[in-house]
Amino acid sequence: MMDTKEETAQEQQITVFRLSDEIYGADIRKVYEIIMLQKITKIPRTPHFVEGIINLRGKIIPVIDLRKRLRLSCKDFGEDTRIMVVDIGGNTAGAIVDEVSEVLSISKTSVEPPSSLVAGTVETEYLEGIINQEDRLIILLNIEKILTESEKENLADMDKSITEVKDAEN
Amino acid sequence: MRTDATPEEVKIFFEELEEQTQAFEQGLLKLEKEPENSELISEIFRCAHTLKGSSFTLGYSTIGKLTHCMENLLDKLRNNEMKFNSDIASILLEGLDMLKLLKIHLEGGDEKEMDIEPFAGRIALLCGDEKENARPAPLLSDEPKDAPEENPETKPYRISVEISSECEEAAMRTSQIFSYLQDIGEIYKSIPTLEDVEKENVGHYVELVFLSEKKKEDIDEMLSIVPELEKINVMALPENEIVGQEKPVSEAVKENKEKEAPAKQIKEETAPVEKAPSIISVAPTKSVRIDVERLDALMDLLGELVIDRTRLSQLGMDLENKYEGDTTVVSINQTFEHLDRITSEMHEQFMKTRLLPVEIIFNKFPRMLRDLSMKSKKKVSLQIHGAETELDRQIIDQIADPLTHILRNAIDHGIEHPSERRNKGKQEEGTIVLSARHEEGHIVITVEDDGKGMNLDKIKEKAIASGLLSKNAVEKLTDVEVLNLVFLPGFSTRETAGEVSGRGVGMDIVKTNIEKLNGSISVETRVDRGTTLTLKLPLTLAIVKSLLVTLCENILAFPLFSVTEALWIARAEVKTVRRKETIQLRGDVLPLLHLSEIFRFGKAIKNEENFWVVVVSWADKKAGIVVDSLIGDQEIVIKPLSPLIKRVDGVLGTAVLGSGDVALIMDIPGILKCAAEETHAG
Repeated sequence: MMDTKEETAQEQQITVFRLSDEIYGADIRKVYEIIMLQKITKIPRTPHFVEGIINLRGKIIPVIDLRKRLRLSCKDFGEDTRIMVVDIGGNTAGAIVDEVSEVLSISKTSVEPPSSLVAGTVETEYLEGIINQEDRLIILLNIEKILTESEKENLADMDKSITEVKDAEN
Repeated sequence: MRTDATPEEVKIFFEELEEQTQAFEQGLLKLEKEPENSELISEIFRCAHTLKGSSFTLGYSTIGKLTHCMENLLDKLRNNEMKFNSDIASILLEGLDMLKLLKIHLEGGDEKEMDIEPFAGRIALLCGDEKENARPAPLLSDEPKDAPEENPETKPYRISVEISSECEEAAMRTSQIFSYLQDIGEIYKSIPTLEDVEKENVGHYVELVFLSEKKKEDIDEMLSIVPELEKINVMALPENEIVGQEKPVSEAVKENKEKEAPAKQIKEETAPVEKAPSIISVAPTKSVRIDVERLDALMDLLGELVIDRTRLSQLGMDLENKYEGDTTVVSINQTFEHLDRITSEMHEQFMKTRLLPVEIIFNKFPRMLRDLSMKSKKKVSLQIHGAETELDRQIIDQIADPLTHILRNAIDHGIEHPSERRNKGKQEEGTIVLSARHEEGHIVITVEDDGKGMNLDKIKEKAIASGLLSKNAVEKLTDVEVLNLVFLPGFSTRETAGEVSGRGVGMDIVKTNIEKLNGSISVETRVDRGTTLTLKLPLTLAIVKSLLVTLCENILAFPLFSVTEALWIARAEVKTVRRKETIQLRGDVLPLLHLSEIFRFGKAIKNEENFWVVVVSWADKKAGIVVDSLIGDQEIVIKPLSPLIKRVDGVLGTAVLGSGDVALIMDIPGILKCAAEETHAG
């Protein structure tokens, strides 16, 4: 736990998880809980990365596939696949990730601002920064930005999802 | 118009303004029919009086002056100094309209001043008074009878006074200062406070925030009358420093002087949140004001409770199966049963709190009709039935506009001019009947007029003329379909636009709005006999009895009020017409819809010999929806889709079932719309 306010200002706790082959992190204050995969009820005519909705202790929350959202390669759901229940501007949502590994305390200084070189497939709006650890790189995401952007993309993705599903069917 | 009231007080004031204005208007319209009714006159007088009081207390001087004029007139009526006639009615209605306008401006934060002097003058003339009586009653100050020369705006001042150190009766001097200032304005805040002065707990320094219409020089002059004052400093303040929580000191001062001020009592008894109903309200029923947000929050919680209790019931049954005969399990189940009953009752009661009588919107119509009939020189009377019928408050809000439009239509397009009616052998006065009633899970509202009805040929012509349909297409339509053309955007059969109706944007918006509420609208007409519009609305938006079905591993819920039947169909019965599957249903052709395609659930394998079809109907459309299996009917709590997901056509919301599964609630009109789109796309 933090001793002084000053320390809290310098440190940050992040939930570390894996999407496809890369390691990502999200501010722990935005993550409510991690739950196992459960039956997802599909909703018609939603963007392709919206998997559907689930019943979380009586509350209905939408679930998105974070890998699809970030346009990463999608492996099938495995044993380690989890749903991260997060807070987006007051609304609760679930994000499917391949594996949740740990909670890490990092100092804010160790977060490097994203440079276009490292960005890769992740659009820089969602990118808070990169944490360079000895043995790995953690891409720090701004969960809020990832999901609210979806509103704007709704229309664009609608068409895309139709063609994608059609492709998947054939 | 500046006000020195808390946001809470302002909110309450506006609510009261609305209530009193409505009561006033209703009373007035009644009075027109019963001019001798002194009871009514007193009632209306009280409305004006109450409003005058509270508006002045909160600093809304324009409203105050306006209501004061009207109160004056009503007082004379009350004392039989004048007799009620249509001129009086008209001017009072005019005053009411100005009130409403003022309210709208104020609520919108618009500081625009309204000039009520002409109106005040006219009322005074009617009363036979001299013009100067347009000034407000001495609630705030004993102002001299002459109106101030220029700019009668109340201004804030900061006044600081130093009492001479040689003065031995500082408390008395301070009291004197307060008293003199009271005569020319209002003391908003002071140090020392009035209580301090009474306890003689004063120093030699007095500081005040003071409101007055007087100029600085006048205040200075007034204060210099008080002996033993060393320094007098009067400084005008910028307006926005005033707003705060404290009660104006002048209120308490007046209490001691025992001046008449019923409005003051309102303030005294006003705790920050509540208000003493017995003084303000005219309505005899006991009621409490509750924030709608709180109600909604409670509703949500209750919804969750309902879900959990269903779950508990199921778990209880599972336990019973597992541990047959175990006494503890039996007790548990008994308790669950009790919980079940209580929760159901609680839920029912709560649903009722959301219900309001349609009277609330029906109330506005007599006045509207009176105005419209005078403007259009037609004679119309309005009959209202079933005003006490209750409806979910959300729905009530939404149907106010559509109903208004329909009524306007009835007068503009339906009821004929008196001469025309005479020629047709009808009574000169047309009748519009507005009625509301319950019917099996929904509310039916009808607007029926005995006017000239709708001319099918004219509608057909207009449709062709506006390019909506080709001549051929129009010929093929049934009468009902022709009638429904009026609901298409851009349609209007009037050559010149009436006041509001007749611009061709009305009925389709009405229809859309009603359908948004999961309601439906239909029209019937007979030439020269009249037209009837029927609106069907669900009783409540939160809970719905539904038919649960499965389709491609999804559980779907169809609201029962749109389900007519479920059929077990053999594949052989399916006929394909123009690449669309259909079946025969008692002589009609029923289109079959495959939701799996409309919703892109994935390809459904439809090779069985027999399958289930749920027949749904909406307005006058019917369709059969193919499903995998039927589960049964259940009362489910509608939960909206998360705000993160944009509105999906065809899905009304979701529900958590007792089993823990999630069901998608079907939005029938949305499905029919999607199906239609598919037809055009395919």
